[in-house]
Amino acid sequence: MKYDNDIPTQAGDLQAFFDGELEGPDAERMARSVEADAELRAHLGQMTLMRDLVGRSMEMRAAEVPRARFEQIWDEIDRTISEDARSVEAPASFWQRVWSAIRPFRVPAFAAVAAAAVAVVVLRSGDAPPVNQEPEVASVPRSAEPAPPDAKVAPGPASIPAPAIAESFPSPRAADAEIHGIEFGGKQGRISHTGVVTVLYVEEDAATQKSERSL
Amino acid sequence: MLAPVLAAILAPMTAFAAVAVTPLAAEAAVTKANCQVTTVLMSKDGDGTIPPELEFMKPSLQNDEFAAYKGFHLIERKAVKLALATKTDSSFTSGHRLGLTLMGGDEKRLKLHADLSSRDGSKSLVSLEYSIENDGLFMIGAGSYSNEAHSGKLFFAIQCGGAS
Repeated sequence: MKYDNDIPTQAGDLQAFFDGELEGPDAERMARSVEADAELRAHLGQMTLMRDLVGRSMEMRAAEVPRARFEQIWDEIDRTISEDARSVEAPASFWQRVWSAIRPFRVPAFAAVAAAAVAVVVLRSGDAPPVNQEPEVASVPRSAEPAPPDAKVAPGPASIPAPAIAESFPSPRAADAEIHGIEFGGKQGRISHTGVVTVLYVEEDAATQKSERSL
Repeated sequence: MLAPVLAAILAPMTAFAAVAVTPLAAEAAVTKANCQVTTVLMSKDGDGTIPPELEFMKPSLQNDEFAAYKGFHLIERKAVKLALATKTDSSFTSGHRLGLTLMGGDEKRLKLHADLSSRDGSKSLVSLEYSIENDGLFMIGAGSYSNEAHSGKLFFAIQCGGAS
């Protein structure tokens, strides 16, 4: 009999039977062998036990992964599939490709563009103030911008002569800054607090940065 | 009879005045500030030596934040006087324009507004409002920059102190 006692040679068939990959006469013959052979049944039982253990372990590990991580993984899969699909489709127009490429970023991109537009409107709402190129610069009035409500002194005259400033400043004090409000000009930026100095990074170049989403 | 009544009225008033007036005196609002803006080019080439002209900000430059940089080069330094609620706009050899405004503060802490333009001055890179201790250093990394001698990242270091 083909499946009676030769376990090592039957390992592949037993595995295929266990995985449900055998069909028709092969599956029936294997089922009969398992029914008749206690050793085969024991092997099959061990396979089942192993599958249950592995499955349970995987489920427990999966339960530890935040849902957002799964969404992130699926987003990445979607992007990869979209890119693959684009590569086999008929060549699309330039604007169609751009539109598809920025699909995941449309909402944040629109928000950034809108913020930049508002910033530009606000920043250009008045005449550009004169620029003092001298190494010592004095205040000139902020154009078309009202003084803050807590201001106790009215804005100064239109132009103040550059006063003399002490040659040396004290060494900077180790301190972190507190950011109350910030607008990036349509580009990315990040803030780093070190306890000694606060550093704000901005990028003028429109380099696309691929970063992991914050969970 | 009158003395206890007066004492009962005056004691709380005196206590209130002591509590209310002291913080006001301690937190006298500043109306002017002196600032120093230093532009520093940090490059990955070098031996990590801080040049004498940047010695004053050595603790900041030697912070882990800048551990990747081994060369520190002073590009420009400007002293800026600020008056409350008035904007000081200054341009730099890099092409950037930096606007600084004193928004308020007290003897310990200043509230400032800063906006930095792109190199061609056509658009704003960042506009922010922040507060920091007197003479605290706030830095803005403005991206890649090269001059005839070095290439790396350009940083604006802003240090302000309140003035009476």
